[in-house]
Amino acid sequence: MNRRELQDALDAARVKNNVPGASVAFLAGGKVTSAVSGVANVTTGIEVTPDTIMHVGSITKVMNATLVMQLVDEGKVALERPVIDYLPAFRVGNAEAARSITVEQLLNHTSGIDANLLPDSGHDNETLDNTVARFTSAPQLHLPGRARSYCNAGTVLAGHLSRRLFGASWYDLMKERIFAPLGLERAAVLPEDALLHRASVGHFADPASGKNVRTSHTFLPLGYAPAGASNMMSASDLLTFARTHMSGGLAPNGARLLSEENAARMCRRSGPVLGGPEAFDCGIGWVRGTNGFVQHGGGGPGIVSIVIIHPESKTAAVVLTNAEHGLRLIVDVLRPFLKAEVGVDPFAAQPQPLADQKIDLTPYPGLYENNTVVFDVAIKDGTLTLSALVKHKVYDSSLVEWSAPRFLAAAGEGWFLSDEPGALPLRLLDPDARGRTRYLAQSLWLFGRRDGDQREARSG
Amino acid sequence: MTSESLLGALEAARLKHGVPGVSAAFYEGGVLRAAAGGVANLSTGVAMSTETLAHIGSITKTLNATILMQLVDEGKVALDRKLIEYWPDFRVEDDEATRAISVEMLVNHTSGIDGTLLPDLGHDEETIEKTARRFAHVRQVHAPAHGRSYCNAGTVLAGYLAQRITGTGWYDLVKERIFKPLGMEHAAVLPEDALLHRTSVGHFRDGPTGRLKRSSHLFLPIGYASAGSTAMMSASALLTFARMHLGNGAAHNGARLLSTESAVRMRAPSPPIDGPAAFDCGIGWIRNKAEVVQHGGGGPGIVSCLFVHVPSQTAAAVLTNAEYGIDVIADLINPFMKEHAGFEPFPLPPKPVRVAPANLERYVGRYENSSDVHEFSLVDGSLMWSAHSQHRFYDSSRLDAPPPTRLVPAEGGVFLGHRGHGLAARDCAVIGFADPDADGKFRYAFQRLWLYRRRDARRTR
Repeated sequence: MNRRELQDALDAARVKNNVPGASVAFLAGGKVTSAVSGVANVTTGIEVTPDTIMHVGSITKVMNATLVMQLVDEGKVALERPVIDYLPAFRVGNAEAARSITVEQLLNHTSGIDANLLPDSGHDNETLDNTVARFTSAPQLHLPGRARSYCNAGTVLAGHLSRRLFGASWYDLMKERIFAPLGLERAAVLPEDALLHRASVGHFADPASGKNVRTSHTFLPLGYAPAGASNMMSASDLLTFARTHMSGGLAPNGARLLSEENAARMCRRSGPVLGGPEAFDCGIGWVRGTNGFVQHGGGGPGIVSIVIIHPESKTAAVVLTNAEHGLRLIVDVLRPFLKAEVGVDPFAAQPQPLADQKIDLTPYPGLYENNTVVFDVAIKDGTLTLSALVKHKVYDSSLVEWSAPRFLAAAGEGWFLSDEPGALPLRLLDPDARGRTRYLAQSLWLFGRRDGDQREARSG
Repeated sequence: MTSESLLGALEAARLKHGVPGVSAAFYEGGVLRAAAGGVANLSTGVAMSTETLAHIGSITKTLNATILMQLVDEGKVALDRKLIEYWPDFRVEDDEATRAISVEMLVNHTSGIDGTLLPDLGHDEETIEKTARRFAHVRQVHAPAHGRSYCNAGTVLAGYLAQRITGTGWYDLVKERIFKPLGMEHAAVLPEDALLHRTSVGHFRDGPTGRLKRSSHLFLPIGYASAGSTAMMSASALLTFARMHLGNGAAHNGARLLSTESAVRMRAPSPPIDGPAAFDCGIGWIRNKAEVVQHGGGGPGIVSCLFVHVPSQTAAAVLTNAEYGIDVIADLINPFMKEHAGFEPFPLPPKPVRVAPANLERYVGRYENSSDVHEFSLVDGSLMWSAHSQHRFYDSSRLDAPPPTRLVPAEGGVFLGHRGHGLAARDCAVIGFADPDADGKFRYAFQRLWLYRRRDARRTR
């Protein structure tokens, strides 16, 4: 794909999907191609330029994991050791879990700590120390190592660990150990640094008019920074970071970010997961996709972003959008490019409804939750229904009251599809002794049955 | 003044002094006029507009004092009570000062706490509470109420007190008690909120090349937020706030933010002091002549100002994004205030005089506060001056003492020091001395709003 084709594809996808602004960068055959489209902020009308910084959200987790792997390189940390060996004051709600959670479990989303996001407690209270202190009462979603559910708390703790062992603030570690050696000049991890640049802001589509409205706030709580709140970059700078990982830890400018061994280790499957459900597959910091792709997505208030690499073919792509509904643009732009370059589809096929919907529904009804969302799975007129409640408002679009129930259609092997347009498929899985499913899985998260037999894990 | 003439004057001043971007608003005859010119950020090239948020720096102190007076109105705090009554953990290094510092001293710059600025400790350490607690190790420039030197520490403590009394974070207090009731849309007090808007950034002139450079950082340490580091707004939004003070607490939209009594009290002289005063002030306002009250604001590569004159019901705000923006401010403010209040608030420095004061050795010594050092020496019968900073707060800060330069005696018993643009330029240093001891040696040097204590001077009282 040449620059002109990329520009046309991006402009078309942006208009089609009603996204205010986007920035993309591709690496194929050793050559970088990039394009931008639209505005950084619908209120100011300032355009997205190649040097505009945009939210990378949870993609920060890959950088945060890189900091820990630098500690491994330096012999200061061993992934299999318990966190408490390095942080004697480490506590979570379940005392036994606090003793057993390993460094690796913080990074491969198997620690089970249920503190996906806590309510924003205001600027001066949103420090890493305070967030870590709040985790001392966090329950477990599952016992450490038993299952895999996307875990912001684990990555915050990993950031806290780096900070302690390097003896520098986490923000400074990002600047000095990631941005500076790679020469990333269009990157900021603090809001006050972002203000030096052209910066993008998120948008939500108004449900009534479809018009994009600027978000009321820029970031998720700053105390979650290592999990990905405040980090903003240009697509090209993020691509440089991804490229460094594909080159065995060696940056395009010749700087070594990470040993070859540990760069490779980050992409390999990290586990094992002991008999419980896995919402997704992952390495260390990276999410493992289909067909040899390794990736990470990023979300935030009115933003969606992605970095995706295919180490075998040395192909990589970054797409940053400033709309809550930006994923559609990402798929439209990425799929044809990656299919053409790599020969396989980067996105897994969606499950399809079964022809025969007559299945036994008795294992499924119940309330499934983590600390931010509750799902109610019920049976109505012989069909499963699903409604959801967000426990505390995170985004302008968060529905903090029960959503109207939607019907679920069976799609095979525990998979279900909601009749709500655009809804993500979900799974009900991990039957207990009575045959009742212990977990609901959607996207990268597990939600535990409220009265399930895993509850003993919650407080220990 | 018309909107066109304002824009013309603004652009003329901006281009004359080579300032990247300027935003200004003037209120007279019941009409608010705003104009903006240049760029908000030389690196991005995005234009400065009348909606762009620009740094207001220490003008924040007037907002901070307004919040404190709201708490006085609500009976939650009394200005004459001691701070330690509201915050038993309050400490400064000097125990006597700890017990003596009143709430009012925090906002009229007479507490004497030498906490002008402390080094930036990084984002997570720069909270208002942690900064307030750091003053436990800070010395006094002067004993409480025995001098007046511009005191950031006091205003940080006033902000912390408001936060403690209300149980609401200081940033939320500003949003909920000032921005929201006044309908100030183009205003932000947190960096992450500023990112929602068009924003400006400071600029310095690079020493050797003279080229303009964007500041390397946006704000002074954020833990000093209530003294004025993070607040940014449009000039119009700042005048919306000023108009509330013109209305003695009643805003343009009918909202009442302050009782008339408290609004008037903020502009009145705040208790007389026994000792040297670098300037005159009320509560949160700096008092000028002819009932003009004002506040200036500085930061990394920025200068801003706000003027309010209640008798003529006029107000003016000029926000610039250059370290040397004061020249633009003077060009715009002087004619406006001359017309309405009868004087120019930015006079040129006093004229040199031929004969130096006798006994120049009385001035010799090292005078300092926690952020700056001024050294005075005698060479061939002339008083020499060298100044440097104790910490790097600005890209232009110099930490090494430069070679001394000759001071020129001037009218009023002060001395003039070169800052590179000549002794008649507004950036020339005007240095005075005060409070001689028994030997006739001065205990203090003062420049602008600050007192600097002679290192070997015994503490007065």
